[in-house]
Amino acid sequence: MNRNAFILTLLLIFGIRQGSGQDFSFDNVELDSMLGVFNNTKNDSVKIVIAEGMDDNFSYLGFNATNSGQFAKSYKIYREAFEFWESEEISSLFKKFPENPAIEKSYYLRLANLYFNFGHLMGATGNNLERKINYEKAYELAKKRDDVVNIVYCLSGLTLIHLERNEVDSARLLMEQALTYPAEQVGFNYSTLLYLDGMAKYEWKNYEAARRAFTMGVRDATKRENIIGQAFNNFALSKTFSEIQELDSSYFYALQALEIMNDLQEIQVFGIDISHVYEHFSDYFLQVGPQDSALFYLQLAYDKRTELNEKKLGQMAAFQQELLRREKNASREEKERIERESRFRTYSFLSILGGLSVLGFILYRSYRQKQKANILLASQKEEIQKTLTKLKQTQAQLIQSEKMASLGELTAGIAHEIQNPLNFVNNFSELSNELIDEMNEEMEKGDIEEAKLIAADISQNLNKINHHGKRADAIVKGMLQHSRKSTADKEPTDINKLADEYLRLAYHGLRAKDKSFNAQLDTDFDDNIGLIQVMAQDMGRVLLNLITNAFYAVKEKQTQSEEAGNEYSPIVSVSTEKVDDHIIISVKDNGNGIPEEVVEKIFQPFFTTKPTGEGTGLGLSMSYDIVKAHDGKIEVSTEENDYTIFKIYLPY
Amino acid sequence: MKKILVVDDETDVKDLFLQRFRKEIRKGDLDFMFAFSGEEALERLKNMDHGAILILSDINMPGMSGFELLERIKTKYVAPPPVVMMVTAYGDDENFKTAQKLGADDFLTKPLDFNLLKEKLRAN
Repeated sequence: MNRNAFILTLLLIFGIRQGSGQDFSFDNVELDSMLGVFNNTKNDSVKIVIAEGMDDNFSYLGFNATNSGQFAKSYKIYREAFEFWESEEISSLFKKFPENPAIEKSYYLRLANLYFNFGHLMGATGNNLERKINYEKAYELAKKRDDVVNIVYCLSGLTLIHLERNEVDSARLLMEQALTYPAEQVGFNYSTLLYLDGMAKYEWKNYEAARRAFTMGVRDATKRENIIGQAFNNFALSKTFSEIQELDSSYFYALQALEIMNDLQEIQVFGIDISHVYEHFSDYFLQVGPQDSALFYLQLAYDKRTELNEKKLGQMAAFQQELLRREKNASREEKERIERESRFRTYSFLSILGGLSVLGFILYRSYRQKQKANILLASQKEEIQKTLTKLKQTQAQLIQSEKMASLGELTAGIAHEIQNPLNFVNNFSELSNELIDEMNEEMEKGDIEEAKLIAADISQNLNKINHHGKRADAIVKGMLQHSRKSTADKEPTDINKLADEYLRLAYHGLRAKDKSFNAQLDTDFDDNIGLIQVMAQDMGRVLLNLITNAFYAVKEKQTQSEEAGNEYSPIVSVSTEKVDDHIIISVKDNGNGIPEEVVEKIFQPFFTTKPTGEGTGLGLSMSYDIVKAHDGKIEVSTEENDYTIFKIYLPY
Repeated sequence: MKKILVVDDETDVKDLFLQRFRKEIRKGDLDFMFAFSGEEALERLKNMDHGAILILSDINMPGMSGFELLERIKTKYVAPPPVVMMVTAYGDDENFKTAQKLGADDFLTKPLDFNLLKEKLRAN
């Protein structure tokens, strides 16, 4: 059997996936039995394969021990791994095949990986100095041999240090460097890169870019069945959506993260564990309610974090003992190294202890604060609700009073409009009575022809009475409609007729109030318009408003002109025009115009130039809203001391 | 025979007058003509002997108002100007004064009292 075939066989037995430091394939294989096989084999090729398998195993066990907080165990494993891998036997073994440089390369890649993983442990135990030194050692080794996996791992690790120190710029630069390597070369932990890249962007408050990175991270982790990658990318997505106030999405991804974290109870990666997910849920429910759930999750978070921190304390104690034990029996050289690695004893360990109580305290305080905040929030919400209800009532009253105000303007006009048809009804009915008498006289005389002629007149009169009766009826109905709630139904409406009616009503309304007032009324209606779909009552209200304003303007100018002794003849004109796909209704007056500083405010609610009590200030703002509800627009053009034109554009 | 020009934008005024004055018309005492706007009234007056005409005009009309018509008639047709009676729904002082100032010969309010009108027509 040649070497390659043998390696292939072993690969199949052990299921090795080369180049992956976090491979799970050696789960059930005892390191000791592997060492036995290694020692009993004379074949260097086989020794190499078994050594690589052992290294995979060391890395896997050590890495998992770190992540689950078993620092002492992790430290033991790594020290053993270093002893094994840096021994003369192994380093010379991998140099025995100069014709195959990949074998020597493999040695250094695995050494780099060990340094990286050990740096990871140093980070977890709060020794950032050793953490950085080990990452950098790993990086040097990997860079020299173009080992993409370890290069990006180290860049990630260094990024994380920057992120923890809030050095967002440096973090971003390193991640940009890491992401130049293709996903397929990075492999299993590519989602970690995407996560860190996202975190750098998240800290930079570029939430959209962060969201993209985390989404890719989830996808990549799912593809490679990397559950830890799925967990923290989902969690990060949830936090990101929370920042941009998309709470539904935030909730969704938090659930995804929680589901995975539930299986990884003891695991803490990048400083995140399940208690952070609980805390996030608490924040979510605090914002959207119910408040009970917010407190429930806060309690869960607090309990879990306390539990995990207590465990961590225990693990740190064990780690410390392990280091002390080793230091006693160590050589001088080793002693120095162990001292460096255990430097956490002087500050890191204390800071972790301190951090614990601070963490607990902060959590407890925020728990209390949130409780207080909840009570405050609830009362504030109630307050706002009350104000809102009051506002709505006031608004309804104001709209009603605006309606009543314009109704008042209308009533006089309507009375006058009804007077004319009523006069006809009275006259023609009186006349008909007379005619019947005459008809009877003619019949007695025997002049049937004349009697028939009179009968025809009577019939004609009855028609006229009916016609004018209906006319009065229509006017009264129109008045009732004006004060009634709008139905918001569009109906085919003769805009010309509507405009004409309201022009007359407004004019007579004003005349009734101020008998000295006269104005020339000009109309120019485009007969091509026909019927258009509008809410007739609402549009009538708009027209009435514009026309009443126009009369108000000319009346003011007339008063001023009289005082000054100037010639002035007031003109109000209403015209309609069909242009392409819309119609334009124009209401023009030759009054004083609108001053420039006022013209921008006229559509604002409650803005009025009329003396207090005369105008509600809602007429134009309501008109604006009504026209907008018709997908139209309302425009004003004005020249001071000259004219004002309001134009309503409506889609045809 | 008196010629009377009635000016009003309400077209049914024509039938109303023709019926109200049917006896006078039949006897040949009165002759009615009708115009439905101030402009139309001026047009009609162009070809007539103005001295023999009595004009009965509404005030509130679209376009040329009754006052404008009155003013034109009284300034344009100097010797002798036709008799002009103004009719309005607004029987207020202001209207009355304006009518007087512009030279109206009489001032009537709606609804018209036709018996009163008949007397006034007989007197003029």
